[in-house]
Amino acid sequence: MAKPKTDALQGTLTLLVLQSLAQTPRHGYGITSFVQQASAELLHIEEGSLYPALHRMEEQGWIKAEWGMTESNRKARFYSLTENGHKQLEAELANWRRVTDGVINVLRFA
Amino acid sequence: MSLWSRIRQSIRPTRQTSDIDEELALHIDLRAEELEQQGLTKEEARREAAKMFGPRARIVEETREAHSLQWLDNWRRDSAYSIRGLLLRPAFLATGLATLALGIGVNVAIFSLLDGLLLKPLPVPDADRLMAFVEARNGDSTGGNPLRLKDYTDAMGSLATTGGFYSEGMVVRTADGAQSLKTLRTVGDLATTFGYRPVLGRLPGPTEDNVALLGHRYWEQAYGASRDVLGKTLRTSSGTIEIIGVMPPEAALIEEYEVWTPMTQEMQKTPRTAGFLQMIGRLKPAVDLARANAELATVNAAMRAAHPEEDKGLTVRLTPLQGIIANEASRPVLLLAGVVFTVLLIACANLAGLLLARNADRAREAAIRLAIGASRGDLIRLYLLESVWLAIPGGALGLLVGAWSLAYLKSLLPAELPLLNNVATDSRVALFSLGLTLFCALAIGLLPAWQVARLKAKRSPLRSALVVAQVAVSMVLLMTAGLLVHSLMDAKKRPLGFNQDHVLALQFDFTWDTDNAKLQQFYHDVEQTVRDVPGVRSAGLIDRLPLEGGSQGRGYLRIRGRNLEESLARQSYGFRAMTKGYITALRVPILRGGLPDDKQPQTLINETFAKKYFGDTDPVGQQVSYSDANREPAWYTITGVVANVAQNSVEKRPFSEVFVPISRTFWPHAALVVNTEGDAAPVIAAARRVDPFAVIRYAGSLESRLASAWSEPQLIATLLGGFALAALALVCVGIYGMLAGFVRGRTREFGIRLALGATPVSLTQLSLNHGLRLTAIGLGLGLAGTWPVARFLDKSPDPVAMAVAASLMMAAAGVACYGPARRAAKLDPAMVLRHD
Repeated sequence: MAKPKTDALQGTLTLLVLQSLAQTPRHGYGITSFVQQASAELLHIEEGSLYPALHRMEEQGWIKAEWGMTESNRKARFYSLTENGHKQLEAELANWRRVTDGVINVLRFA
Repeated sequence: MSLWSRIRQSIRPTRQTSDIDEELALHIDLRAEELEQQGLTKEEARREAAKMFGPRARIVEETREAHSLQWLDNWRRDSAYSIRGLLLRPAFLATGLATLALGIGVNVAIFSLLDGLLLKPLPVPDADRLMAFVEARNGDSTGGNPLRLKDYTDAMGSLATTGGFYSEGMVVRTADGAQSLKTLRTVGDLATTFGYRPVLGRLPGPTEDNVALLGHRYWEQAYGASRDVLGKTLRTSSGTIEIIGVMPPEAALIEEYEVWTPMTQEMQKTPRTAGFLQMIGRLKPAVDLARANAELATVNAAMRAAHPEEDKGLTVRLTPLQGIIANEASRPVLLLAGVVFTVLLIACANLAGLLLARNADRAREAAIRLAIGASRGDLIRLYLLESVWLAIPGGALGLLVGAWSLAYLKSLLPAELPLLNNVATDSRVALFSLGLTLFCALAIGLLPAWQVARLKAKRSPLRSALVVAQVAVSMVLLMTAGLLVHSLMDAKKRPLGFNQDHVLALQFDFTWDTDNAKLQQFYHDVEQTVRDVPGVRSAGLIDRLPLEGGSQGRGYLRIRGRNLEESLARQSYGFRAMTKGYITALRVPILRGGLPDDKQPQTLINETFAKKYFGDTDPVGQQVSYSDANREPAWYTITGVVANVAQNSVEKRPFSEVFVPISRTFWPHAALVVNTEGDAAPVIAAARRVDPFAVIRYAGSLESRLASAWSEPQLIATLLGGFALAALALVCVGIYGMLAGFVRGRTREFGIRLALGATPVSLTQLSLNHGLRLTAIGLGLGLAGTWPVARFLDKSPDPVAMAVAASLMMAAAGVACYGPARRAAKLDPAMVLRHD
């Protein structure tokens, strides 16, 4: 399985995580699966970056974690968005749109 | 996440690590399951999942780091480095620990004293609302009076309760004789005003006066803390007193009394002019001091109008009780605190000097650290931690040393010192030692750390500056100690005006409600009886021994046939009651005339009094009155002039004083002085036979009795002298270290000089000059610093003490410099030059 390692993706890791937690709490593996499926297998999150990022975001107060049970009855840490996390998601989304709009504009003129 | 859990994580990362590990393991398991569903074998799925995941240990570490506080991790790493460094140099570690333990220890001890006596709120509820009435008559402070206290109490709306007290020894009869109990005589709601409630029984009612409450410790000692004590009686010379209660233990914290008992109704009606009472009041909750004092001023004005004669010139104000109690002890304690802190500073300077000396070796290490990306802040933290980890165990040891020294110090202080019970090594003291420890860590480490971080370790003037400062500061200490010792020696050399060889003293205590006729009979009988003991040459009574301070105060003087200027008439003079045998027994020189009759209204005056009021004219035969201005004069005829007798150990100028026959006064404390060629035992036995129930507070040689008059100045001078010498020793160590570093730093230069023909002696001289020049600079600065200290001590800078201190310092510095300077001369140029 090819692993896209573009800078753009690195920078959007936070956005992807926040977005994937916007509707429902998920554990780490759930986040990678969701991103993979939702992006129709185009995007793949690198595990090595995911967990430090999750814990950093927890530290920043955007997400909170709780121990819970998976469908297969296994203990897992579930992450969900906090109030601040929702705000951060909006900010990141706005930012993302600005960047992509800009990029598209440039491409149009090229 | 709370700060606490972050810190915990940073210190103990294991638990968090296992959590993270579990989380990651689940991830891999779930991936493996998915792969298995896609058709891989269990084995292959696991391997593939792990491979996709990547280096697990590193990911755990990176994840963990997201939580930990970077600075705390750095702190931990640097601490470990510093502690290893300290352990590698046991000599430095031991020196540092010992210095700090002692330095911090004595500071902790003195602070405990300072805190208990001066800073801590009085050990009573709402101590800040407790006020003392401070009265003055024509500007001179005067004691309070029960009648006036009643007037204040009735008229003052700002005060919740008031009370008054004085202390005395109460003589109670026991199975085997008599015992004097330290008694607090109270009036008004004294216990309530303090905020004390009896642990057993009740407080006295407003008109009861033959009842008593026992002090808590006395209750435990004498009655085994038995509850049956209520209703028992104390037998005194004048009757019995019923025990109605026991005071709480905290009542002993300000000052310990064995008995609390109301003043007799008679004492409560003492004429308004007599001032002997301490008066206190508790402010009502909403009232501030200024408002209370404004009210008191109007009450005072009304009182003066109601009693124009007796309360003439009387003023009064309320002032926090704390300040009144603390006042007496504050100067010596503050002085000691300043001294021990100075010694600690010198000790810190030494340790800083040792660290500075090491900086030369560290410069290379520091440069490497900077080169590989450490910031200067990182370096300062790293090197500062070394002194922090030196100071922390040093401070802990210091707290122990402090507790021990405090116990010793308390045993040296007079037991009746107010608030001494309040002095303890408590949480406040622990907090102080923590603060002092951190201060020491900074004082020791900041300069060296800063210097090495700036990579300026070589040829820095810092060490020299430290030495100059040390010399200056310890000079001030030495001279202060010299000043005190010298003035003490002066005071001891001063003629006392009497001869205490072969003189015994027996001090008797009676209570203030003793019948004067009985008292006079006893005085007469005991003097006569003792005089008949074989070997006794003379004996006489005095109300207070020489050197024991003050006397029955008198503030007004009249001379028959003369109109004294009011200002001269109002100057205070000493007034002592005696029998003429006192003058004979102490061999006080009689300068003019003769001794007065023990029964007649006759008086002796001392030399200073005679000069002051009679100049060159002969006072013998003149009549004087010592009564207060608002009383009728009571005339005494002057029979003679005696030499001045020292009243206390510290007075500077001779004091005017008069003596009247004790039979014409009422004073229930007296000492019998006995000039004898025999032993003390038969004299004491004879005195005891006169009244087996009389309490003899002291019986023994006059000399050893009076020795205690020197104890306070001697104690302070000894402590200060000890600390000053300790400072001197520390400074010598500092000078030695500095000069040794100086010589070591110039080894190469000296080698070249030698090779070029310099003589070893010239190098010794060069080094010696360097050390002595710095000492001289410090000496000069120190001399300048003596003036403000001398002013604080109310003494003038003393040239003798200065000369002694300066030469001591120079000599000590010379010794300290000699070793390193000699080493400079012993250098072998060939060795030195080859070495590099």
